[in-house]
Amino acid sequence: MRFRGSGLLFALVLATMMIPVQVTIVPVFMLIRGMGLADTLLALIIPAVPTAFGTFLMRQYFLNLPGDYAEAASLDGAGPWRVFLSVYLPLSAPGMAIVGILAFNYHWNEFFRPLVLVNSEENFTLPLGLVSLQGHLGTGSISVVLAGVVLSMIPALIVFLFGQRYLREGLTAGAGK
Amino acid sequence: MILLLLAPTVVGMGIFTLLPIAGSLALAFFRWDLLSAPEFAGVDNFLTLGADPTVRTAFLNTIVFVIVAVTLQLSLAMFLAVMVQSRMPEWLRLFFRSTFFFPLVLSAAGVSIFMSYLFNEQFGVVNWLLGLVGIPNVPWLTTPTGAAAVVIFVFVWQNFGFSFLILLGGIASIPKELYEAAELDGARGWGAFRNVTFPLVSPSLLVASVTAMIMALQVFDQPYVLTRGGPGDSTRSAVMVVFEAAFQRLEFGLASAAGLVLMLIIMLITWAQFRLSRRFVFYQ
Repeated sequence: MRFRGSGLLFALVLATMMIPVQVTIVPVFMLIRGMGLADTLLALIIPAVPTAFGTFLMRQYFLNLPGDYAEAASLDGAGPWRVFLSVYLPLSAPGMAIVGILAFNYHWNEFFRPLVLVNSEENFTLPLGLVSLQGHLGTGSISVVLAGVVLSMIPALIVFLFGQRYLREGLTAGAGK
Repeated sequence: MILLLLAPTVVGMGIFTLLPIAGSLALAFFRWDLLSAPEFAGVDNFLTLGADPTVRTAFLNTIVFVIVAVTLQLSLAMFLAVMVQSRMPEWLRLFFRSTFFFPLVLSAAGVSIFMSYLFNEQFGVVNWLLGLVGIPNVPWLTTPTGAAAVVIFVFVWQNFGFSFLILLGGIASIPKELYEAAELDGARGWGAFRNVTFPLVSPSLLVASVTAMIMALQVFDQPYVLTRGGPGDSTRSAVMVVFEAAFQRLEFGLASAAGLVLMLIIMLITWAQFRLSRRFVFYQ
C-alpha cells in the first residue's frame, strides 16, 4: 500500500536483506537467552517470523494489483478493512503462495540458526539431526544416515513438484528489476 | 490501520535485525563470555583477529573460495542457459530447466552428508569410478587441496541453478530479430554469443554475480558438514570463525568483530561490482 514513508521503509527492508545472518546471530542468541527461550523451538520460530524478503515480495505483489478496485469498493460503502480483507487479500493469494513456499523451503533446510540456537536432541531440526547422526568423521551407520537424508528430501521434492513455478518466481523476484 | 498492519513486521525486525546489528557493533568493542561482566576492549578484538593465523587463513580461504566457486558457477550457469535457450523442443527445455534448478531446493546439510560418502576415500563411488579407469584412490577429504575441491564442487553443484535461472530469464528476453540480423552479418555461434547474447544479458549477469558472491562469502553448511574446516585450517571459512569464536570458545566480542569484518567485505565487494558494472554492463 502507498502511504507517506513507504519509500523509506522499503529502503530499510532492502538494507536488512544485505546483512548476513552471522552478524546478528550473537545478539539474537543473547536476546533469546534473555527471553528465557534458549534451546526451545520458539527460539527458531519467533525471530524467523518478520522477514524483509517476504515484506518486499508482498509489496511488489500489491503494487501490481490495480488500485481502482479500492475506489470501486469504497463507493459501495466498504471501509479500509473491508477493502483489504474482501478485495486485496484474496487477490494476493499467489503472492502469499510464493512467500509461503519459499519460507517453507528455506526453514526446512536451514542449518546455521538451529545449530546455534538449539542444543538438546529433542529440539533438533532435520538437518541438525542428520548431521549428528552422521557423527564427526562419519562414524554413524551409512545406510541409516542416507535413508534419513533421502526421507528428509521428500517434502522438499513434493513442494518442488507442485510449487515449482512459485519457487522460481520467488527466487528470481529480486533479480528481475 | 496502516500502523496495525505494519506493527508486527516493523517491531519484529527492529528486535531481531536492527537491534542485533547495533548490538554487534557495540559488542565488537567489548570482551564478554556471558558469565562475567562485559569489559571494554577498544579495538583489541580487531587486532586479535588480524594477528590470529587461523582467522587470517579462514578469511583468505573464503576469498579464494569465492573467486573459484563463483567463476565456475557463473560460467556453468551461462553455458547451460545458452544451451537451454537454443533450438530444442519445449518439453525438453522445461525438463532441463527443472533439473538444473532442483538441487537448489535440497538442504545443504543433507547434500553435504550425501557427498561426503560419495567422496569417501575407501568406499566412495567417486574413487570406485576413478578405479575403473585405473586411477588410484584419491584422498578427497583428508588432503587440503582435495577437501577444498570437494567443498567447491558441492557448493557449485547446489547453487549454479540459481544463477542459471537469472541468466535464463535474461537470455529469454533478448529479441529473436537480433540473432537474425547478426546471422545476416555472418555472426553465428561464438560470434553471436559475444556480440549479441553477452552484452544483452550483462544486466542479468551482474545480478547473478552479486547474489552468487554474497552467498559464497557466507559459506558455512558445506565445509562444516564435509570437513569441519579441516584438514588443518584448509577449508575453514569466515563464518566458521564467527561460529567457533562465539559458540565454542564463548568469545562473543571477538565473534561480533569477525562478523562485522565479513559484513564490511560483503558490502565492499557488492559496491565494487555495481561500480565496475558501469563500464561492463550494457543497458538497452
